[in-house]
Amino acid sequence: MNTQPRNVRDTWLHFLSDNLPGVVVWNVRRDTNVVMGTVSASQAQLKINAVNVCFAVDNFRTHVSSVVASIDIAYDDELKAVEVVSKLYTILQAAAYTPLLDYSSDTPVSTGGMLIWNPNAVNFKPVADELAYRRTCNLTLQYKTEPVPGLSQPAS
Amino acid sequence: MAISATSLINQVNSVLTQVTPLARTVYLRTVSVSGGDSLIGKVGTSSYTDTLLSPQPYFTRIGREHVPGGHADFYDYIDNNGRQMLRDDYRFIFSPTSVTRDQLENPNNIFALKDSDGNTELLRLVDIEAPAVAGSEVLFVCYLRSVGEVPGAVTIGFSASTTVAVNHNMNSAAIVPFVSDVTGMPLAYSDFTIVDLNNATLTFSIPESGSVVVKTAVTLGAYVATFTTGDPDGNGHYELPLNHNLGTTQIAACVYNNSSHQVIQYGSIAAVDEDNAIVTFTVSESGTVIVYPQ
Repeated sequence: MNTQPRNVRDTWLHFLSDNLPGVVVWNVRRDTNVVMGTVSASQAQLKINAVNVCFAVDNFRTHVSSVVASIDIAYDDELKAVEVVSKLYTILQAAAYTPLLDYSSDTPVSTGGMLIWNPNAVNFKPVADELAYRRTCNLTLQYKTEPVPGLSQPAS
Repeated sequence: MAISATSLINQVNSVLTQVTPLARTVYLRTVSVSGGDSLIGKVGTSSYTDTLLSPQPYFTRIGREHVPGGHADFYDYIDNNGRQMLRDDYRFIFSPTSVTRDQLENPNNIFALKDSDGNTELLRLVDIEAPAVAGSEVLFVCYLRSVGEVPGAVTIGFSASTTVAVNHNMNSAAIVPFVSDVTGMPLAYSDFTIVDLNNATLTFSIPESGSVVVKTAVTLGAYVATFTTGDPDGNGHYELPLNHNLGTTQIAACVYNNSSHQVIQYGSIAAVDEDNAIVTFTVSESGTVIVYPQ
């Protein structure tokens, strides 16, 4: 099974979280585990005073695939938000790639691939919101597509 | 004479006590998670406690009625068990005696509606309206949204099979299988193994036909405990005393060893009294025991 799309999400979330100490990174996602009560029912909601990450569009290609990650900074204190934007901009400009890791086991394992983005495409745009100061950036993350194992053929 | 908040709350409690309980019982579910990695959705060890609300709230399904403020939200769908379901918003009236505002607003709290078959619908808070008198909230009118269904039991049929994949999807390893043949009589099997929280495998020594009903320990109101038997008694038997507190002597047990295989021929279970029992094994065992009222 192709686990690259999951590895891409996990790697990106940890890259941001591990390099932004003291900042809450929140993955906005639809989580069926909420049905069984294993996580908060609010996983699919935007979190205030956090860097919200949402994976918007998956583009699967033969050699290099990509996913559009939306980074949404939402703080009720504008000055705190500006500080977080600055930290985020610094880490995204400092490197254009990070090793792609597999987080399925307790210790992340390198897959041998890289997650790449364009540091010159990091732009934070304002979002109108009455509740919080918000800035958003859509960044395209690219990675090498895993070879597809032999597909089963229809019976002749 | 001015009406006090306390007297109004008492009146609310009195009215709720008269009109409830409804067809389903309402619990406050508090979820706690440890370990895992919530950032990437890797579930660790989770647990929850269901607290029965008293007095029970009054609730109605909003349905297709348009509510000012846009609270109503519904859609129909086919669930994991192939049932036609309607996911809808509800209007609840809670007494401040049964639940506090802090509890309502805590994102780790959701509400569970349970019917007599153990089926559970989970709801999360969308909005609160709280009339107040003299600075005290006298009741909570809440809008709750359904976030999913948890079946109390799953039935899987099989035909002329020696191995049956039991895909129950109930997110629990504390499950008890009830296997029967096509006439509904109990059917012996050689092995039942937990694969993961949503799957198990049922094995027969010869091809069999029938059905398996899988129920969770929660549905059964069971007592669950891990165990390791101690030294054998003078007869070479290994006894496991259990303080199950189920309040009945009519009990049965389902035992899994540490390899997640059901220990089918474990010996016997004997009730000492309504809250205590002894499970006797013929060999030393360790694993998980589920004791449930019959």
